[in-house]
Amino acid sequence: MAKVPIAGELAQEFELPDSTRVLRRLSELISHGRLVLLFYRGNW
Amino acid sequence: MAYYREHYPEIRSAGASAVAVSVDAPDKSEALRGHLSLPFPVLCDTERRVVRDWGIYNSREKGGIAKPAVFIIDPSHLVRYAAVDTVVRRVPAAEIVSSLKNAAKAQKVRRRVHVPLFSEWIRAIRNSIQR
Repeated sequence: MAKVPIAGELAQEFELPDSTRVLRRLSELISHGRLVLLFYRGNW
Repeated sequence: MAYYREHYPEIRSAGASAVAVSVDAPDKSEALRGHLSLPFPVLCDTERRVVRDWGIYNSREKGGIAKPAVFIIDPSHLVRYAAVDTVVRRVPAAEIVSSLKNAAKAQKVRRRVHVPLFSEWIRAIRNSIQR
């Protein structure tokens, strides 16, 4: 499995659908400023 | 995530934004977003590709889920902060919000010539006289 990125490294680009099925790219999400990317467990 | 919802105005005024990601399908994610009134998008990594790429896939639980983790990414893709939640150590949400505010403040100070707050001096002198 890939290594968790640490501070100072570059984040890998991704594209995922949001909950309304609209595709979101990381580069679009960070285009206006810093992004807090929150991964949560889900599948409760 | 409720913490980030509560502090979202501060995050926004620091020039930042947030997104949540899990392996849940869109309908489930949309239900959660509504239930928690989240003011930011919830992304769906149903194929577990991103959680694998980012090294936070937990294959041992519930058919494979994301480990709770928080990253701050800046507009040049640079990772400014990274933390993966463990049983021993929780990701400190308050620390993340204050770091965003400090980063925004530091940028402002750099842009502006510092002017001493004269009114604060007056107030300090008045207070010392009253005592």
